[in-house]
Amino acid sequence: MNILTPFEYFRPTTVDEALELLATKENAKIIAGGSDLMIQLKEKMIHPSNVIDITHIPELQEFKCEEGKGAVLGACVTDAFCEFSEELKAKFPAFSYAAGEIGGPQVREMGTIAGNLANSGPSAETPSSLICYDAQLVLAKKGSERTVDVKDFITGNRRNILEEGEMIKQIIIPEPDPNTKVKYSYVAMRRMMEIDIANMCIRVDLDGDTIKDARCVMGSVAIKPLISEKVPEVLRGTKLGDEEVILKAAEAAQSEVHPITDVRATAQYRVDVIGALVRRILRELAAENK
Amino acid sequence: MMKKQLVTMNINGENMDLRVAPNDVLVEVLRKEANLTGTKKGCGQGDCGACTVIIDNKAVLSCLTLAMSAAGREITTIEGIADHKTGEMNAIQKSFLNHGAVQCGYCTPGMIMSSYNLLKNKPNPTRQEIRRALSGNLCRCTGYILILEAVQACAAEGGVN
Repeated sequence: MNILTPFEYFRPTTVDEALELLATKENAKIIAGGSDLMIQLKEKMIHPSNVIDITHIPELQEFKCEEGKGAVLGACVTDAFCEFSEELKAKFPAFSYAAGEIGGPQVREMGTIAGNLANSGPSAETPSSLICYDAQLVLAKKGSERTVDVKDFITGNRRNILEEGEMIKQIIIPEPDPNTKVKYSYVAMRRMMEIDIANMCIRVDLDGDTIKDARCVMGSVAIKPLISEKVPEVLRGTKLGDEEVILKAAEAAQSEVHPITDVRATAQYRVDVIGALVRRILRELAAENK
Repeated sequence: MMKKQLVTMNINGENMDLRVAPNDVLVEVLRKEANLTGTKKGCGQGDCGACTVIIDNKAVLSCLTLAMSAAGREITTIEGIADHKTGEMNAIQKSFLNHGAVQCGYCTPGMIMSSYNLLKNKPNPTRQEIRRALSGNLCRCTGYILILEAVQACAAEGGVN
């Protein structure tokens, strides 16, 4: 127990060096904070021959959040950084809050947002808010880069579109419209050090108190973040805070989820939680918009 | 077995040449190679916080850190916060003792490292901030109230040095 299967360890100091290693070393895994990867190594879920540590690459620690220019996060920006960043709190409150609800304080100091995405766990905290903020990822491999939407990145339970030799280099979050409000919430068995029973992020694009458009992303109820089709349909053109609409939106979300029963909750309880989260978030958004 | 190599690690302000394999976890290297057994291994899964150490000013889990990755960083363990010359305990250690915040003692090094790092970075935390900073450290003797009081009192009495 807790003895890791042997592997070779590499510690590049530039992105190019990391990509070269990824391209040439067989059966390689990237490690950043290690909060997910180390557990997978200990549990023998993965057996990499080569481990590439990207935490000593200064370029990947970079963080930019300029007036009117959204934010750019290098792949090694930690959860704790996003939790405490005043700029992120002001511009992307739902994302900053979600980052601060991952694991415990030590895990957040170690873990990275890019890692939370790349691990692609169904109960991950940050994908839903990043999808609501239209975030994108810069994926790099030797000799090429591509930019993809976070909503298209995760494809299943611990599955994503990363190709062999490819890594997340940056997370780009565009500048939000001042009339766009986003809120994240979750239900878990206790306040700290938990894995969510279900989580949710809702975005509303407002004109006064009228909802022009909306988005609702649910986590921990499917193999990947579930983007609701019906909730935006219910919300579009209505007044934010209309209690009848809120109840209808909750029912709409509940009709779309088909969660599983596991150690954390039964399927039926998860459905109940989804309804509660829609009602809670919409009421809070309405209260904040007054 | 993977071949061990000599790696220079900066622990408690001292450069130590230790035998480290690529797949060695930091907590094991601290305890077995550096003979610093103050750091405890609890769950080994990042849930309990017993193995908390400070690396480059951040409280992190040594059970989820590759020893190789910590080379070149400044590592502080429970052995490193007392006065190096006199051996006098750090204020937070004294406060834990004075408040009876220790029962079986297994969680204590981790609790103290999280508390020490909090007070270093935030000398006057609220009770809620202390609770949050210690939320990654579990105590199964249910001594939380006394631990919170020890941290609060330490802050009120001038904090950590």
